Amino acid sequence: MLHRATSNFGQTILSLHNVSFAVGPKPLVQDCSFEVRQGSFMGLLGPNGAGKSSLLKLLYREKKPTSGKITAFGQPLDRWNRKAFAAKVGTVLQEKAQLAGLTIEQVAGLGLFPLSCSKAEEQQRVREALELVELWDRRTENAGYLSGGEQQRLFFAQILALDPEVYLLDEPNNHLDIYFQYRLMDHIKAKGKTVIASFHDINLAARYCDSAVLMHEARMVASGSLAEVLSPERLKLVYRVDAQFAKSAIAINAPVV
Amino acid sequence: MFAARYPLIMIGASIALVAMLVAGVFWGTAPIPWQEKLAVLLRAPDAKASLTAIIWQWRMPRVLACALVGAALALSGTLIQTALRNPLADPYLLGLSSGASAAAVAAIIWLPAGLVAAFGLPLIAFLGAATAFGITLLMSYNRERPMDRLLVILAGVAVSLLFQSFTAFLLHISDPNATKTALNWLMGSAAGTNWGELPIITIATALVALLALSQHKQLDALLMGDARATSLGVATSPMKLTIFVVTALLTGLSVAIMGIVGFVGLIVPHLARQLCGSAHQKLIPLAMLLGAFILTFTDLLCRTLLAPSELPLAVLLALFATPPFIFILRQTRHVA
Repeated sequence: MLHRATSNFGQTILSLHNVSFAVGPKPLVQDCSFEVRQGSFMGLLGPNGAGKSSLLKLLYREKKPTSGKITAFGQPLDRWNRKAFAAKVGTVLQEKAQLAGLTIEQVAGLGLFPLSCSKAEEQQRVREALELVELWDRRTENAGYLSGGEQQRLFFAQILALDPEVYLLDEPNNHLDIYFQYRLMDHIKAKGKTVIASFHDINLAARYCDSAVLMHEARMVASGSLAEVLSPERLKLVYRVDAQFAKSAIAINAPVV
Repeated sequence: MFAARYPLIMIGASIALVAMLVAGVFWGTAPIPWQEKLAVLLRAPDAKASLTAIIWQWRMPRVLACALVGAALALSGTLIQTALRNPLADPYLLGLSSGASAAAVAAIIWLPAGLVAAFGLPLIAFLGAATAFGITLLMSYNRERPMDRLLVILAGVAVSLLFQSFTAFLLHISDPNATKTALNWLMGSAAGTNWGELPIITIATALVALLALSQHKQLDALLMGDARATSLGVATSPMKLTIFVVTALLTGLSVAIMGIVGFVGLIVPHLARQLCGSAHQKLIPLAMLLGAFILTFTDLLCRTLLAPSELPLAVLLALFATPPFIFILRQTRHVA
């Protein structure tokens, strides 16, 4: 069974076919199939431990699926040259990093590693990205001393400098204050690039996503438009919350959808 | 941060190293007057043959070996700390030193001296290091978590313990003379280095340094963690395996020449990072210069302080390593 995530967008650039992933006996992703179309903003939803991050790990090739097939831009994922793939598909990951001894500018510049461009263009891209996340004035500072939220902004600067065709964002709003949550997501939304982002916050997802995949206990339980995916019964099953409350929350926060 | 003063630091470190090399050649147990030193160095025809021998056959290769081993260990330490993202990682972590020690001590104690001389203690030590390294890699192998840093560290510790127990047993059962020889080797010494030992480590160190510098961005990416490096297109597992292999190679060669020289590979990369940051393009050259300087300096002190007898390198290196360690500890406490 192949779920169509959405139909209003360009060609399919990423597709998963019966993808499963397990560590030892524990299944983290089970039998997931969906397609992502060019220019769509897809939310990966589900409670903690549903398998959102594991699924993203398969997409940015940190892990290999135990079974099933992932195709990106018409080619099986494992046939892609790593660097060429990384130039097309950028990521913002969840966990904190130890950055001591690197300057903010150096870390932002590492985001351009998959790209071969001139030194001048590199500097230009890094500058624009750092200005956007409001870290340019502090570019010579030691990135090791940044707070969690500042570090997250710096990782956003990496992907914004690269500006890949596909943005893979794992809980992108972690540690960010409200201003930057909206500012950065608005900016990425306005670019019209393909985005796959995991959210635990349904309100944020409702504001930005055109489509969604809902995960529960490693399985995909629904996909399609947000309204379809987040039916009261599913919310009750997956999130264990009162549907009435959840529905009103979406309505208030979803002027874009 | 760091950018403006880097050229100054590099110039300063280079001058210090050259000065230390000259001091190492001119200074020593046998006093040689200044004019004669110059005559000997320039190989003037009127120079005394005995002095020429001391400087050219004895001190020169020894000083150069110190500089090379210091640079090689500092380079190895820098790379392995990056690969394992662990500030306490050092080149010996992969079981190398204990493997080399066990092999060398076994050779000193069991094999007839003639056979050891024919084979060469350096080769035996190198093979011991390589064996231990191989076992560490095999033990840490895991298909789902390739080159996992914690698994590698734990495997290295296990292998080290195994070989240390073996070495301790050998030292316990051997006769006092052999024990003394073995202990000397275990504490590291540059005494008796000859020219023939230098070419291989020179070439190996230069090649590894060039390789590392050509991959400096990948190494920087590795600092952000495996997942981030992977997502940027860095092939992290092959990269880490390469780092382990070249580290084992350089450390094995160093151990073969001087025995166990501790602390250089652990402390020097930290010192260099304090001075120039963690970006490898700058860090690698500076760490190598500092490593060369520190080992040459230590060796000079070891052979002059208690002249005519010599101190093992480990005595002073461990002493020198203490203050930077406390300093780093305080720094780390602030960050964490």
